[in-house]
Amino acid sequence: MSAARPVDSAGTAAPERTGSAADSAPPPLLALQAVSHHFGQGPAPGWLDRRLQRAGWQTPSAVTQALDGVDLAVHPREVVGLVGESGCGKSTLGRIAAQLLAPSAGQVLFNGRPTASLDADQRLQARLAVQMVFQDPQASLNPRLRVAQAVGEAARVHGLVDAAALDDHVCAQLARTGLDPALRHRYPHQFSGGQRQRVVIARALAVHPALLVCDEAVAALDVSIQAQILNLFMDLRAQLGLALLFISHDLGVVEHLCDRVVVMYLGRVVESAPVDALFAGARHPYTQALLAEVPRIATRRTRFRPLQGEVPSPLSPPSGCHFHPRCPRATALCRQAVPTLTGTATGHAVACHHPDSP
Amino acid sequence: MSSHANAEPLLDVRGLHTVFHTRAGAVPVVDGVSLRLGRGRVLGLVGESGSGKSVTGFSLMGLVDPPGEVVAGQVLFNGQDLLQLPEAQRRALRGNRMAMVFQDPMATLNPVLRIATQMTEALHAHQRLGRAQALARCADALAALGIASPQQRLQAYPHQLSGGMRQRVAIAIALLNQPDLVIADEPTTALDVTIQAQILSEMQALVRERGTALIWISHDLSVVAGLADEIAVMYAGRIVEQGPVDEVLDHPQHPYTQGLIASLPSANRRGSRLRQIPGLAHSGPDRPTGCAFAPRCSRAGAACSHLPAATPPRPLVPLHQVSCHHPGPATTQPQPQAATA
Repeated sequence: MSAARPVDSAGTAAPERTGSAADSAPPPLLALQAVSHHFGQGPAPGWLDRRLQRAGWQTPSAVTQALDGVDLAVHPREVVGLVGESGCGKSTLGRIAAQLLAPSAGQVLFNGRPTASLDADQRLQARLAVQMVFQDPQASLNPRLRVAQAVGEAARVHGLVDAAALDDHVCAQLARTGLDPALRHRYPHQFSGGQRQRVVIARALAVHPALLVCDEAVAALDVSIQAQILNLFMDLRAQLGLALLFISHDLGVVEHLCDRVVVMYLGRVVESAPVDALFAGARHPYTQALLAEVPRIATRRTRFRPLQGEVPSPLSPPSGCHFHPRCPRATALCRQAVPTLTGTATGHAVACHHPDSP
Repeated sequence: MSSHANAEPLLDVRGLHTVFHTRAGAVPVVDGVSLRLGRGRVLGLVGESGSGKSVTGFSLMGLVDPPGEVVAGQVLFNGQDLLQLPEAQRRALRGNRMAMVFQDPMATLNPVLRIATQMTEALHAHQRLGRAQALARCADALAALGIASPQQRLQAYPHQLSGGMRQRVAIAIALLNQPDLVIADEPTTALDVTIQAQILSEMQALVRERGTALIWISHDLSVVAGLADEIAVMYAGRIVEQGPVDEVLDHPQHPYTQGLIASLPSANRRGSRLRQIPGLAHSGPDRPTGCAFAPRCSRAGAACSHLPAATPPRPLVPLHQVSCHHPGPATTQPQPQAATA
């Protein structure tokens, strides 16, 4: 799928687990199949709750449908961008991909095998192979741990290095992310924002992951620092063969970094395509609106023509296609039927009743 | 186009200096900023975190609290030096003739008061007005920002509104008294692209209609490009380059501006390494005496140990000012090389 990108650098440190069946079509590194996730779904109401609810003295607990039947695959060395507005479920999807959350329905496959069927040791390996980088490095580092402790802790706990080799291991990770290993005995507050994000990336790399889930990892950084961190991600992918699931609301960044882009709206995937196809010819009206609103340096004194309305609450999503209240092409069909994600041979899939012809 | 050349600009800032007193001594945060802005014009003030762009905004508004202090300069607003005015008169201007919008709308809004209370407060602070009349003005202000059913929104509390809606309320409060100048400090940075585009479009329309001057502070050159008439680029408390938006973005002369533009993903070929500015931004009390960008600059020479004066580098464009000893167009497209100037 991502053959268009020259990423074949020779010295590839293989990820610690290669695919089980390395024959004709290797399975994706990580695949989510029909994953749904609800928040706030308690146990079924008992007789007392039912009576109270009928009498109007108790309201049933509100259920947020954060994800609704999402499919996603990340192949080895592939960079997949996940795009959407706040509240569309992209962070929930990232947490499920990192196996920090168990999906309410659907399954997560690691190297072609459902994680639910793995034994405890294999599941631990699957978890270690997927690491996460969050938006705010300040919040994801313990302010009382020196950087060397933060970076080395997980590798030590999981027995990847022994105590004697730990210091070298930490230095290697810091050097790999472009930090001076001599700074490893400092505390997080002694670093700048960009350096702290490098520390967080070094910490993720310390357990030899095959996939990094980056949740808005450059959103809080200045433009020039953002360029440095994006370069670091591209280097890591070339040197280590890392795959990335890059969650972002910034389409300019996604366009630059990713091989494939998945666009989400209110818990569903609305469009998924190779990056060139998406930016050259988006087919879903939501994607088209998002692309039209990317601020670019070449647009001067433009008349902004924004998409009207806001993302509806996932507590009470609209019927049919979730996008229909804001969509210029909406018809009666869109209000009733949920469009299915249908793809073409080139891997360009769109969930819309009235897509633009490619 | 060139209302900038009119005799009396709305805002004329000359040599503004703001310092923060710390245990390590007085840290200059705004270090000799000069700006001019005409009525109905939009100025984009661009810089990275710590460059002093927000403190510049606070200094113009008179909102710098200790340990910060505006120590020198003139802020001529309608020909009147604000720094010489007694506090009572400044207060009468603030929220009335000049207003500010902050990045986080919850920093503006009181969480325990209804929107109506907070909006009418801003009206009653500056004029005598009946309650019904004030509420009608507030509803109009909300409607002008594209808020549906403003009457109901007035009765809501801030937590009942979405982030984009809260920011619109904050902007509506700033615009209530039809100020001459609005200073917007990264008001769309925390918002989604679609909401950002909506707010940009509404701000743009209001500024055009009412002839309000707008200073849009941002770290994102691409947002400013679509909105501003003029751009000022700040680095380490000083304006390094300013001028009409097309001049600054199409013919940047300062190496820092060129670095900022080159590090945008959209300025680079897809998948290629982004060009980055080497080194880190200077911070702290012991700033270099000369050009603060010199340690990161490929063109730096002996002259850079002296402070460069703002000069027009290209004779045909006198409004385009650059503070650099070696101004000139960006060196070739690939990796930055040594200076040619």
